[in-house]
Amino acid sequence: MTNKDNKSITETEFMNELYRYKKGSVSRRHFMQVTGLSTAMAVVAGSAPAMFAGSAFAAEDLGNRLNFATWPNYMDENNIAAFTEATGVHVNVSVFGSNEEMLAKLQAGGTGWDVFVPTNYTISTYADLGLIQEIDLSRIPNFSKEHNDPVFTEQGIYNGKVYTVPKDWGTTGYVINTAHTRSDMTSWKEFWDSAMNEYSSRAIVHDYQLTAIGNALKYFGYSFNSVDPAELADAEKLMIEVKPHLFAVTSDYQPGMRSGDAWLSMCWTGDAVQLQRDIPTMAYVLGKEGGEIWSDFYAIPTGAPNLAAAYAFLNFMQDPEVNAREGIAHGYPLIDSRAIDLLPEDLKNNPILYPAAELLSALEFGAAVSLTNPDRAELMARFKAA
Amino acid sequence: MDTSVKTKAERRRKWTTAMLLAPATLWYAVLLLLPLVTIVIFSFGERGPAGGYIPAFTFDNYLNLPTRSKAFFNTMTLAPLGTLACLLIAYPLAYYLAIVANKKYKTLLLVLVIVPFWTSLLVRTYAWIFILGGQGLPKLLAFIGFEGVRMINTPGAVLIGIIYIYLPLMVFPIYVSLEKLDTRLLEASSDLGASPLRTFFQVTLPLSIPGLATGSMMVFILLMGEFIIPQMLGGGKVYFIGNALVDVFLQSRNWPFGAAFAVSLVLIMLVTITVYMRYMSKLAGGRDDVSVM
Amino acid sequence: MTDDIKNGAETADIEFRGVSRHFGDVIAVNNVDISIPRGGFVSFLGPSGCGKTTFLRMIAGFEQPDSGDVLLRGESVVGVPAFKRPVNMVFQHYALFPHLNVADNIGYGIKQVNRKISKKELATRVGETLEMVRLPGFQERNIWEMSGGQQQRVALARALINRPNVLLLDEPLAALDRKLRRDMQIELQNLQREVGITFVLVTHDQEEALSMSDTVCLMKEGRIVQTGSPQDLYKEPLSPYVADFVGKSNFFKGISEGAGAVKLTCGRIVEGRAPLTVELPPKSSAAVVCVRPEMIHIAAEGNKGASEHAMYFTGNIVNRIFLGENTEYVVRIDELGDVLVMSSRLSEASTGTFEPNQSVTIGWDKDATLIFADT
Ligand SMILES: Nc1ncnc2c1ncn2[C@@H]1O[C@H](COP(=O)(O)OP(=O)(O)O)[C@@H](O)[C@H]1O
Ligand SMILES: [Mg+2]
Repeated sequence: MTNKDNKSITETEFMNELYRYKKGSVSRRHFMQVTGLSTAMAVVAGSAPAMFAGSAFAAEDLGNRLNFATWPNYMDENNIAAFTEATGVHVNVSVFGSNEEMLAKLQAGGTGWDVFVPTNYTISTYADLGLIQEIDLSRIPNFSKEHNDPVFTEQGIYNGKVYTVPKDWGTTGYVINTAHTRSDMTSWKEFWDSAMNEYSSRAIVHDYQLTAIGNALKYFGYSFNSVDPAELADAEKLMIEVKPHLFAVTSDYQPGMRSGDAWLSMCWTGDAVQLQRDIPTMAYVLGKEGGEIWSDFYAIPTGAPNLAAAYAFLNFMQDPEVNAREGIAHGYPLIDSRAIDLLPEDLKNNPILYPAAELLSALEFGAAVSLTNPDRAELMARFKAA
Repeated sequence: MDTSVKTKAERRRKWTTAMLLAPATLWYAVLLLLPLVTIVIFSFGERGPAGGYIPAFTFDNYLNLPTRSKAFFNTMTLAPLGTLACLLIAYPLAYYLAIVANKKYKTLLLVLVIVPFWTSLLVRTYAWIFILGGQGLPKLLAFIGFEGVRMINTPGAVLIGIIYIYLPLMVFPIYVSLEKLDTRLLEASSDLGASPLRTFFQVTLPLSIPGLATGSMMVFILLMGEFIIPQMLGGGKVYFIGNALVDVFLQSRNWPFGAAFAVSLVLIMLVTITVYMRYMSKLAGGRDDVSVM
Repeated sequence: MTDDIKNGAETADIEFRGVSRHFGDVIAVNNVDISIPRGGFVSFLGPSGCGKTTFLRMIAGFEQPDSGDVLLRGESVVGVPAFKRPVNMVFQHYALFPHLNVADNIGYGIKQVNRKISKKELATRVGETLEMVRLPGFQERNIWEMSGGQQQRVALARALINRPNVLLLDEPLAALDRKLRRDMQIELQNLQREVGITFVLVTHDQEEALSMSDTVCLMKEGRIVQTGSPQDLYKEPLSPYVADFVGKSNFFKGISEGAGAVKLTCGRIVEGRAPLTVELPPKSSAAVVCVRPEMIHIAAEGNKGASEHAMYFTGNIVNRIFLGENTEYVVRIDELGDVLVMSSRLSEASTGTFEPNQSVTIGWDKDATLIFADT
């Protein structure tokens, strides 16, 4: 972000800053300084022509456009720019908040997406519904099977068919601000109990059924992926009981944590890295009962309009140097060991990214049934409406 | 002879009218009726195994609505309350702009009212997250001795957001109707012995009812479907019908249940609006020259 | 000095003492002194922008004077708001309340003064007032269903129902067509006699002012330049401005010879008189001679009649305007320029009519000639 000389920024830059800010990877001051709410108008006015301009160097076989659906603050802008530079393909990025939302969009049809970023537990559902296509790995020479940990890559293979290429992985624990909380918290039981007692009105629960319910199930020692009605009923009882004590139910928990209003929150790896980098009293806890481990992938929806460009993009992203830059930008652990080798030492040795083995072993991958199970969906909706 | 000529001309006129209205009718049919019919049909269906819709005929979706009574309650209290708050703040503002303000500064002041619209709603609401968050107003209040005030993620914060976002929508219609108001009518009232207060209630207010009704209607209708403000400033704790709809459609992907929600929302709005318009046109003196909307 | 319209012993209804009102650089009303007695019909006449409305609005209470004092029935009302003054106004475009029907418009005033009035009494009063303005049975009508003349009557009824001391009318007939205007003029006069209160009417239409009022005050640039009966203003104008505004006049410039004679620019000497209360201009000073067109006799050249008068000239008719009861001729006289002459049907019975380009002789008497100082 080159904004030191106070030039007005483009709309993409602005939106990108906003998302980075939302996810908290930049400080509030940085956000205000970079975007300058006063220059916001200039942004909107100035970016209009850029929004419609196509690339002048459109490569003939790739087309000049790629529609990419991903998560907020989940990529390095410079990589995207480099891809456009190299291929003439303009990348149109749209950002989503949950796998459920992506699935709903694909089910409704007409997304026009070429590449999107699903999480492990959704792959089988997408494949069963015929919403994603098999990947022809021969068109992605940069992908190296032996350098990618099969623990993760296998999550993207369904019925023996490869539907994805790996992106990164992470865990779901909770972040505590030890300036206000005990620093010896280790379990989900402590999270939920303290949320309705000593840290009442200070805790945040994800607005996301998989983790909110999964981590409530963990309170009782049940599986993160349970769909057993009795177990879900226990989880619901706990969640409804805690609800009035919560500071918020949101997946956008960084602002609350940063402002000091909230002291503990369910949290993903990357957010914990970012929070701790700015506020050293922040600590990341993986519940000793277990919890979620996950991996994200690149996948191509059925009927992607720019298939050639999609493959070119996947191949580009598998380049170790590109991938390493991605890892530095989003702060999540990578899967490709060639890229991991290129990361700076502090990232490689960060226990938030690479927790102790015994903590990891307790974690579960999300299951497909957790995504589609109507009881879980209903439970979450009831919890939110409570 | 004569009459046949007349009917021919008349028929031609009717034909022309029909032709001129055809695009609008088609537009409405496609954009309004079609989705509405789809949603009504969906609302009697069942959720598919991975979400979506399976044809069926069941009232379960409607019977399930009471489980979301909190969303209905929140919306049905905060939407009218927000509308009322907007009205109470917008009216004096519009009155000032239309009647009191110096003509020289009027345009400038009007522009100032719209300026917030130049920035994205998301950015503006985000600003409020910080103003109402722990490092914002509460910190200021703590500084002057009011410790521990919690603002963000409360119904009050949602109300503040609603007022902030929707105020201009209320100001403008009222401003327009007050601007049109002939000031000699106010003088006539004063001349006939009415104090300024009585003049306001007997002349100004009834004559500005069209603007007031339009503004309230717009704000109310939009508020009934609002979800971004409660989501961002209510922190998932102040839940509107709009949030329920988003969740049911995008998270649970229970389309039939979502459709039942949407149908009930439309029905609630139809009833409220009808009652409201009846009442307003009565207030406006039953004039048929003044459309309330 | 106060312009006393009538020398009554009783207190005047309205009194202005040295009243001025400015709008920025514009002086709308400039140091006006006037006293209007009870029960008359007074018109304020003047061209548009001379301050008539401002004057009226100061009586009503919509404007406050910058300096001077306004009194109603002997009491200063400076600072008293309109709704506390015992006067009512008929507005220029009526300003009827569009959201109220006829009965509610008319009853509006009573309800403000007497909030506890019974429905029955209110209906009776409204009914009576409607009859007074000859609109019986119109109670339930909507305002926009009424014609201009009917709206005018509703406005009158609305202003009269509170039985004010003074009724103010701001160009009340301006929006009506000519025939209706005539009828309303008569009606307004009758109404004034019937209710017996003071009517103060403001108009730029001299015919309206002359025909309706007992007293006319002629205004110019915020000042009252002459007050008097319509006849006085017509026959004895105090200045060429009055003579010009009230009725039509021919003006000829010259130098005063003293003793009621003026030597015109063309060299001819005309004789005349000063208006009753005005001094003749001193000898050798600039003077203006004024002759009303209807006082000028016209005859075919060589024909006796016109040349029998003290002053006579010959010239050609350049224009003829047929007005029905009268005919106007523009006669081009070498010595005087274009002269307006009015000839009645009656006189045409003896002189016959004249054609454009016809040579004619015009003449007038010394009595018909008014002499003013040329300022
Ligand atoms: N409210 C006002 N603001 C500024 N100027 C005014 C205002 N009212 C009247 N004037 C000015 O005062 C003068 C007299 O106006 P007015 O009393 O309306 O005259 P009239 O009724 O004889 O046409 C005019 O020059 C008019 O422009
Ligand atoms: Mg006027």
